[in-house]
Amino acid sequence: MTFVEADSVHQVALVAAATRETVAFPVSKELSHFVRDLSVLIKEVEDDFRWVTFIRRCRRTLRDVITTPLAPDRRTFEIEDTIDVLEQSLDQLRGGYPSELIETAEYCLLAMGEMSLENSNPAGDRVCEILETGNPSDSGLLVLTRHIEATKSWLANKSPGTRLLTPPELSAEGRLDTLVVLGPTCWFPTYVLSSPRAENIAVVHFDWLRDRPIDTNLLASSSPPVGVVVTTAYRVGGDIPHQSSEEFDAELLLPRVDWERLAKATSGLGGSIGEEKQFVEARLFLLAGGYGVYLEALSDTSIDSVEFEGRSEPRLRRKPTIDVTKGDYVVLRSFGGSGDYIADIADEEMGRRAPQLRKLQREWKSKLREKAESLGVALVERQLKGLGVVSPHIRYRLLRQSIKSQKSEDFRILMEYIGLGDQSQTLWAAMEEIHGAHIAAGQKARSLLEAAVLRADLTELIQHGRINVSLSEIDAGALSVFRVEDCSPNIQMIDEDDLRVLRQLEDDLWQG
Amino acid sequence: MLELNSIGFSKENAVIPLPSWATYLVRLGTTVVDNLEPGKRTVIGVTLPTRAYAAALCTLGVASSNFAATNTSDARNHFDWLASLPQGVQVRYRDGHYLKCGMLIGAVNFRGLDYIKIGSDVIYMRPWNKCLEIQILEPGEEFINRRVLTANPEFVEACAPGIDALTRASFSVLDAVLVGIKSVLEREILRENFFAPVYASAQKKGVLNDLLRCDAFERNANDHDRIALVSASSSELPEKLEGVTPPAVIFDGPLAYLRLRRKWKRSPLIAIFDRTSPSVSAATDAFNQEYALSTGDVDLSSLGAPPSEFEVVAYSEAVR
Repeated sequence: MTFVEADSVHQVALVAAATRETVAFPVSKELSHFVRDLSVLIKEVEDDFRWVTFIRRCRRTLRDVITTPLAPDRRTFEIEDTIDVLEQSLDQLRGGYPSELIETAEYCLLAMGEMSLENSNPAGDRVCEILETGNPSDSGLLVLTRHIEATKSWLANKSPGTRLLTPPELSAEGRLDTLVVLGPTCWFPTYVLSSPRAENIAVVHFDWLRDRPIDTNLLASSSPPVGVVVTTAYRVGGDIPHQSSEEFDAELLLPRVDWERLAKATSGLGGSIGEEKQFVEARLFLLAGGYGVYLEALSDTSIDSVEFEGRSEPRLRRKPTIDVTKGDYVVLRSFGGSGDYIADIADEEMGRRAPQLRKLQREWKSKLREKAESLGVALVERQLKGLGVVSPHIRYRLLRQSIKSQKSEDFRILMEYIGLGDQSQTLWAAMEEIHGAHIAAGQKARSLLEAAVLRADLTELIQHGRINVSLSEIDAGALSVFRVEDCSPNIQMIDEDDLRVLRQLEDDLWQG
Repeated sequence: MLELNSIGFSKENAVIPLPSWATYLVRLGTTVVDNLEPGKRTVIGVTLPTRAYAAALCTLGVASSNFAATNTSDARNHFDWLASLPQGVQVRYRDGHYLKCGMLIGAVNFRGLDYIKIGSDVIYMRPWNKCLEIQILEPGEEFINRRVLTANPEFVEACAPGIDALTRASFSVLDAVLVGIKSVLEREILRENFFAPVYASAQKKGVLNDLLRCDAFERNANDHDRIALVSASSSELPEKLEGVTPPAVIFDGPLAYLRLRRKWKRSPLIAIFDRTSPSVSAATDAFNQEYALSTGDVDLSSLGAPPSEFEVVAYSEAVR
């Protein structure tokens, strides 16, 4: 960013103003009304996952219509398919539940059916009217929609030259004249208002949605609020709306990640057969595009991550898995093997010696596991400390990716402790060989990966949250860079084989 | 001292003074080192709509507090230290517009005045009060016979009237540590032109590095530098900074603050938080927790109200 561009970002923050423009859309309002009623009634039957799925799909359909500037009859929304699925589900539920609940669900489906026939697009029309007041090349439409390609086509047709932006893209923008924000502000990151990028911001959403004011300050002080406040209310074809019981609290429609069910649905998928299981503390991460992955919740493990903060060129960095957080970009193998790709490349480096060396590695881990299972990890660590090992890290030592301790003396003590003292030197030499192969493999993979990331289309990465990178020079399988969208608040014990395995998540579990 | 009003930038073919957000950041940098209280340090957090140039400008403020006449007591101490070094030690020193290298011969007294004697192409003698710039060559540093000291002394002197830019460029001292991403800071510190004096007909053009002298952007390996740049992605400090307490540390962005703030427990800190960064919440949460444990707020009212797009919190805490 040049100094002039930086200055213009500061200047725009001084003059920016935001207006709210609510749009009437009766068919969506009707659906929202029944969805809200069903949400209340369903609380008593939440143990039946069919009902949970039912309401989540209704909410998702509503959210799609709010966040996408297209007429609901467009095939993109797949409303008719949703109705088919929900009708089948409702057929199974009939008879077992109070009639009020069943009737409300039927009304939901009726309203959804009406909406699927609706060919008007009032929010999209209003967006176009606002964009027409400015220069398209200095304007942007900020969206959260899942249907980004369909929206892109629509915008290119309706307002050629206007940029379609997702929140991560907005942060890299300089100054815009006009920015239309489609949807309630409480669904967007705070910086949309705290660090405005346009002089004129128009927040467009349906009139039945109740937005929540955002606290834009981040520091614990009595500083005056920073950024813009959405002050002026304007309603297309009507009066300024007052808060009413007819409104739907926008926050209640935010996607909810069902971490508990996701955990149940995703653990145990990568399981190997016929091998001793090693369980490890891990956290489930939600990735862009509806993928999930378990990463170790340990301080010793790391993962390749791509950083490009502050408009810098992307840089590849090993990041401790325990520090991975929302907004990070991590590299994972998306096809052609699972888990840590470095180990596979290292095996290639070691050639024919690999099976024998890996066997030795498995042997000492197996002995250590036996010890840990019979005495408990805490006691084993205490005893090893008593013998002079400063940081035994037994949980980490049990993982395949841990090869050896830093100091040979610690390794010797450990081998003696597990009854392999007589082979300590042979094992150390073997582990040194594996370690060397891992270092070489890591360096080779990372240098190729860095070059591949530099060549990649970062606009796509920022907009879609995922890009594939190909390293044809080595057999690492297909690699992808993913944006972390969320992470589970809970740590669970996961089979080691489930770590770093990419899995497609069921929409209902994270788009509820 | 730095004349902030005399520095400008080019916008639409005209040179105009630095905007208020920029001058505020420079003054914030000066404040963090000028208001030292024994046993305490000042920590300042700033959130803003973009991190661009903010850390570089704060660093300029910190560095500018050292844009002052040489302290003679420092000169005497430095002379004594040089005099204690063994004969034959390789040193570098300034001679006019040039940097030279030579072998230290030792201290001599000539007509009642102490001198340091250096052997280079000729025998060279330097009075005790002008020895501050004589420094030992660092390990691996090239022994050069002669090279230009600084590329742009005119710009430095136009920004800070009364300062001898060549003297300033002829010895190394640590004014501050700047923690950030080198490639991003390089654009701001090394490639963006500024001008001084703003309203003069013959303006001098220069870059922030002419004033900062960052070690990461040296033209020559043995240039004298004043700002140490530490990568925000590193977990360890360079050897030369281990155990050192810099006059101030500036963190460019939330990641830099989250990763490395605990490395300096005694130095005053400035943390720049870009509100659009994905890690800003984690960083400001950490900042707020440490603020809650502080000994009190630091009054910044002498700087005037911060620009309305800024959030600024300054607190003091006991140094450990």
